[in-house]
Amino acid sequence: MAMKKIKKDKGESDKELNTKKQKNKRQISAKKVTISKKQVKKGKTEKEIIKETKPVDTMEQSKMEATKFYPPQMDKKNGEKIIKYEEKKAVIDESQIQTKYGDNKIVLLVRDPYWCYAYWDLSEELINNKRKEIKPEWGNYDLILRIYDVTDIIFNGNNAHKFNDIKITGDANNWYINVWEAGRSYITDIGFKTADGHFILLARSNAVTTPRDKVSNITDEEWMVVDEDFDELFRLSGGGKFGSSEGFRSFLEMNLSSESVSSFSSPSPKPEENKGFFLVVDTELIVYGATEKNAKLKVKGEPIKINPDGSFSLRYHLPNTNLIIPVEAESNDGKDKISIKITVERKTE
Amino acid sequence: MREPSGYLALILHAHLPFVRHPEYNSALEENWLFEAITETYIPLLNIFNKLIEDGVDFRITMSLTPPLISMLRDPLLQERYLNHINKLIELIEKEVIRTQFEPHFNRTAIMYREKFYNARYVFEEKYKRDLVSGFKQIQDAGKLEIITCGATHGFLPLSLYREVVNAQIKVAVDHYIENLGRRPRGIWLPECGYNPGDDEVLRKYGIRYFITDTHGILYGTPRPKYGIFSPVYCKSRVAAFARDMESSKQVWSAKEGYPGDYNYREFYRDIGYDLDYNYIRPYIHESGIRINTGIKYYKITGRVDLGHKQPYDYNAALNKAAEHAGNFMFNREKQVEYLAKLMKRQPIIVAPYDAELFGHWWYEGPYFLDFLIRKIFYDQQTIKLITPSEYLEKYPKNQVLTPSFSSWGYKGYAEFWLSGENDWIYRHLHKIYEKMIELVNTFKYKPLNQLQERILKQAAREVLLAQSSDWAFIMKTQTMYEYAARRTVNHVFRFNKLYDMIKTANVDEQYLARIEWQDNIFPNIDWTAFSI
Repeated sequence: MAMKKIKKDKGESDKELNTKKQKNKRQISAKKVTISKKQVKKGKTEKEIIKETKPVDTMEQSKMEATKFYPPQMDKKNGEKIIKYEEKKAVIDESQIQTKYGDNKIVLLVRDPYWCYAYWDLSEELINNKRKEIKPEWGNYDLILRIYDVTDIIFNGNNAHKFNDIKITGDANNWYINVWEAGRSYITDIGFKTADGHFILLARSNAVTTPRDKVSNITDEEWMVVDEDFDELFRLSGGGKFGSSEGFRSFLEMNLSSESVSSFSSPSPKPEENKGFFLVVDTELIVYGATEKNAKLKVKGEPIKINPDGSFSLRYHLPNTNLIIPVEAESNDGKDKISIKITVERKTE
Repeated sequence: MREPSGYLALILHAHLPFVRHPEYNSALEENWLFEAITETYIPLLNIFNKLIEDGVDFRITMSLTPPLISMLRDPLLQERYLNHINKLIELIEKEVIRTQFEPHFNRTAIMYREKFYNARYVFEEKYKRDLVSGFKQIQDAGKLEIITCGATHGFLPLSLYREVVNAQIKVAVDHYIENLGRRPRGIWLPECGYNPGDDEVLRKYGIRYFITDTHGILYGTPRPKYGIFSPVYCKSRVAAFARDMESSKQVWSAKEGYPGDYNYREFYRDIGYDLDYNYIRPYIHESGIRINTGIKYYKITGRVDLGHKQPYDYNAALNKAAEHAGNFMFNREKQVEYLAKLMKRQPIIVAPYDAELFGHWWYEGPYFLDFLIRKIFYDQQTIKLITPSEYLEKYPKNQVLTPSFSSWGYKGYAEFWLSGENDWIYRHLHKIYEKMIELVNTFKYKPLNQLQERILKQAAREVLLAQSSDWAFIMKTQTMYEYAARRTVNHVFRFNKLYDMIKTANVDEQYLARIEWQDNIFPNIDWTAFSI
């Protein structure tokens, strides 16, 4: 049976490829002219840079990618065969899982700029209880999805920009919802809607935001320099050479939040070659503190960039030596100045 | 040498899902790995080493995903690969004899023989079965930048919970450090799936940049001044680089792209299907089902059916690859020259591909890369190869914007992983995410005995394995639907069983031991990673 399925799909995909071919032909001719066109054009704006971008056929890409996971092709001589593995060990049947959890939940996911997907799982109990709330005079009722546009608002149930009702048919427990607009936020309710318009809520989903489908109109530019040494920064966060770093991180955080300047030793990675007994001890020094956000700070005479909240931290490898570390802070207007000198000594006996 | 007008960043995404099956003597899916080793990973290593030996300076960026690294370093799979390549060598020896009166096939058989022997040498002798160490050496030589990926290639935009994104990233980063001895600078987001805010998690683990598809940046807010030809920063200070479509299409497209050239090797004509059943029987799957062997004697030939393909000529195909490399370089030079006039800086062209495309699908692909790198080094001065981190060092000042939700899949969003064929998985996945997060909240600060810790670790492994985007991908392509569906269900089942064990304190240790043995990825997993 498995093989039949594959066969059928192969036929379909061939067809699809054929229609793709037609499309690609057009793209080829378009491609040919681009280079010469580029050189003729004089007016060079950022729009042109953006225009440089042409779509790739992502379906073709997916097909190519799929060859990584190729299935066995049809075996003409031996007919259809389904692979049966010889298991080494007897195992319990792991192929059955619960189909329903009854957790009274509806979840909304984004598929693309125009479509969301909702699935829900409602208990019989909830449905029966809610049914009891419906008064006979309200008339017949349907199970519906009520999708709200909640872009830029904190949704309280009745302040959406707009909403739309979708009648659920059959025993569906999921639905693809065509939403109004790209780049907007949505929430969906599931509930009963009566003939006279009453709505009884069963569950409310999470909020999602659909992606934009075109280039932004906002052209305000903000630029940022990130020149910090990331490796260094994340060694500071307890990362770097410390493989699984949870324990070390909390140790570091403790130290960073305490009052004293502390130097401490940390385990070096285990030398892989050396299988015998070993001890490696290394020391590092962390200098950290805080000043006013706009103050100027110098450590060992070097200007130091302070964090937006006025804090700073520096880390040094600590050799066997005497170190003198002057720290000077100067207020933005130059009126106040504070300097602190730290002296650290490391000696290995 | 003068300053180049712009840069080219070649990015190869090397990934296979965790398809290790100790419970079977031979699993068809493990062949995905074995073929990629012979046809892609070893040829790439050989090429990189030869470039270094020849003094050709180059830069290339590769993601080696945690499941791939885990499999490449797994002793059982290493042993099985060795058996696999030994079998292939046995078969090709027979083939060289069988084809001796057909020179048009015989020369190809001899070519394969050379490659298979070389693969065995590189695998067994040169790297002592550990190909990851080979890639690491090239990274240490400064030519290759290895980046990481989601722990099991989970498609992040459908994760629903930030805790799950956190686990995919944290476990991957820990695993990278364990295996490569330093932090990863960059990440290949699985399927280039980006959801605004995920960059905060990257920032938390020290990742400096990620790659998006073109529209990830192009549709970002505010508008990107330099389009996709310069990176941008998210507000979290993490940089994003976007794929260039023009260079992508030339390689990715089967029809108008290079791999469709008639001289190249035909993927679908394989002696596993062509030859007499009794002759080929020992070299196909043990169940007797015919599979690809990797020995293919035909070229694409043209738009003809498989029966009318013409014999493959390796040398002619290599000439074609050289020609295509020249064409690719020429197009990049023109592109960069044009862009450089529009921009106040040297543009960067980001060209990402599936690594397995080179060699597995496009057999001559690795040699195309080799020619391309050499030509860029010797023949021109307009473009230069670069890694994203080097570019950021050169241009630390970049525009700040929020990239758009995007992926590099079909239509550019989540559709390939969320459609009629595979949408049923999400209610189960989200349920086990919820339960795993609950376990972390319950047990994180409790004293645990060894058994409890083992259960929690295994539970975390099962959640991650269930999350591989590959399962949904395979369901969608309908190639190995049953396998992918089974994998999803099995991991959900195993997680639930472990969850019940720890909640009820009723432990089936034998069961636990069996799935630890089976799903042995991430031996040192931090199960508390499912948190914010």
